[in-house]
Amino acid sequence: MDSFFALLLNGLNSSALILVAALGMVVICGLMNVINLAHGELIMIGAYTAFCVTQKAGLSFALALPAAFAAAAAAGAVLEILVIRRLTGKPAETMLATFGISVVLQQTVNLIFGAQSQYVAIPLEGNFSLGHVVVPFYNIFTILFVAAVLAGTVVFLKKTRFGRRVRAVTQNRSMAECLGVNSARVDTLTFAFGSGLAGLAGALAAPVKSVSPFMGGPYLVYSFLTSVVGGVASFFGTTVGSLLVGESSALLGGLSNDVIANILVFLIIIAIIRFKPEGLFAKERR
Amino acid sequence: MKKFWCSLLACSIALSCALFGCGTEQKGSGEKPIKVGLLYSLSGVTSVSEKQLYNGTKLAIDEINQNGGINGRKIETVFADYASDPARAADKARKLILDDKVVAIVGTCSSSARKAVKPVVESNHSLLVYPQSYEGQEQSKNIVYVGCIPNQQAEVFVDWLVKNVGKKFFLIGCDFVYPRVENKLAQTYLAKNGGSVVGEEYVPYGSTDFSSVLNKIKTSNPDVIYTSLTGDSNVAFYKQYSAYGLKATVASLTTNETVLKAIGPAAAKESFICVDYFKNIKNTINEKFVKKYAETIKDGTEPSYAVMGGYNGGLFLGEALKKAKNPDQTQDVIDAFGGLTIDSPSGKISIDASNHHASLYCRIGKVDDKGEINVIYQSDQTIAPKP
Repeated sequence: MDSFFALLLNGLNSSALILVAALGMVVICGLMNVINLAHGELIMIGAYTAFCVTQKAGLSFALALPAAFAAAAAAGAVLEILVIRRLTGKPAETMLATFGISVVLQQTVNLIFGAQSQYVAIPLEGNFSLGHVVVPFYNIFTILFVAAVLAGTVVFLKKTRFGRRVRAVTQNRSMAECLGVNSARVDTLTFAFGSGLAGLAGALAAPVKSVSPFMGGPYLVYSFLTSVVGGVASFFGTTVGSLLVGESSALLGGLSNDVIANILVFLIIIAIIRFKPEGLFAKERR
Repeated sequence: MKKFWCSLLACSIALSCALFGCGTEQKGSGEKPIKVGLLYSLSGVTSVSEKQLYNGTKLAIDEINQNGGINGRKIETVFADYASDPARAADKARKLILDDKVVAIVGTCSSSARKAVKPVVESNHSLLVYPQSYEGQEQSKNIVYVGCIPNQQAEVFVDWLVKNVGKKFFLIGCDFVYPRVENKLAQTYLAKNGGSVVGEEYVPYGSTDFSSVLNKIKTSNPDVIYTSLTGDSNVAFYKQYSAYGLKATVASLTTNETVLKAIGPAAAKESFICVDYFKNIKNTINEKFVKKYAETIKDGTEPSYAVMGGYNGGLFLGEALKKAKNPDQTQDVIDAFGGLTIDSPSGKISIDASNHHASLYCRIGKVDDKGEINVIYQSDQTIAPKP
């Protein structure tokens, strides 16, 4: 029973990291209908920002989180203005272009920092035990922080003026434009916001994972799967999706091993997509 | 317009003739350089290790050239990047041999890349100098293996760990050939010297989530966590191991000075590493080498067993070229390798004539709280390879 509880808690931690990576994907893919294959590299930019802030500049990790958001958001804004905007309505071209950008970003970072992994210290050392179960403090911090980010994102999009504009543009672009919404600016800011969330995921993962130019790949796969399973435009769905992916990897990994867990999780996802191609919690589209 | 292109072509032909003419005349002896291929990935997932291998080989060949080359002739390197893709490694090797006409190739890192290049060098009667440590169990008359193999590393390490740390082992690795072979060998070594395996786990290649593995380790309560994890997985494992506050000692076959910088001293302290070379070996050749590396290579990498593999590969090839009857004939170069000895920063090491693997020292290092590796064990003499 103890070990089951440990697995659940661990799963919650993996779910939290997957969720924050996927949130950015939901904003970009769900609201803007852009499949961004450079999402993993935006996460990498966040992780490298955390590295620069904490190790190069010697500042606290608390500053690294907003800095990572800002750096990735800036990169996202540039990306949107230079590339994505010019390929509106061409999904295949957008995918190719963003894939190209992901390679460019990887190799640029490789040239600047080298291919080796970089060191980011764990900001919260230590752990506590519940019976046999060990829980690192940093895991608890991750879970709480991600919950706050999720709440913040939902409030931001549902309650603020900018959020309403974003939703207006997604639901009916021409009508929103008629009513005086600058849709181009909204697109840029939405993309930047989604990218910023990706950067945040990178900074959160940096202390306990590896920071390297090629770290983005697995995150891209997981955030894509999570948002597809949950229903690409639904935050609630993405939360459930990330719990499903994170918990099932942790439980199956704990009961069998990580290689088998990997296979089973993907099989489960394929089954879900087969029977609910719109995702578990798809919104009705008008 | 057509006339312009014609004249441009004529000019360039004339120019290149002139340059070529000058080039060969200036050599004095009129001998052309010896061409050697370097086949490494500076992009893709294995580029972390391969950048270090590349730095090592490049340093060795530059040194040979500065010291007068091969009996007066320079070594000219032709570099090919195979982007961590074994299939491309085979293509690039073929190109190096057939188009660039190199006499030998130094390179490849993963066993899958080497196994892809093996048939190419064999069918073209060429030579590959393989610089990385690997799982053994291979021999080829067209490959010289310079890195350490299990009987020079794992066998000694397991024995030492059982005597000095504890008998209960937990084996982990990424799920591909090298860790599976290493862990299987570790089990046979443990069966011989009274140790036991309390758990064995593999994670998908590149996986960075160790929560379930760490809980299994905690439940099975081992003395030693014996790892051959590589790349991003290796870094993430150490960091999460320290966050979970486990007691067992980590013993690694793959961690080196460059990786250690990413792991950080807090997570790596008190852990053990076993390879053939560490930056902190005390001898004058090594001290000179470490100083030179810091001065010439400024890419964030540290002198490590990977750098040393590449460096030794370059030095051995240089010696073989000097000794060969005709250094332009690959077969003569291959024949020259048997029994070859060099004074390297890792000690006086040689190539075994019967299996073309290197006789190397085995060293065990312990990481201190500043993140430095201190050598705490060194074999009395070089250990002969038994692939």
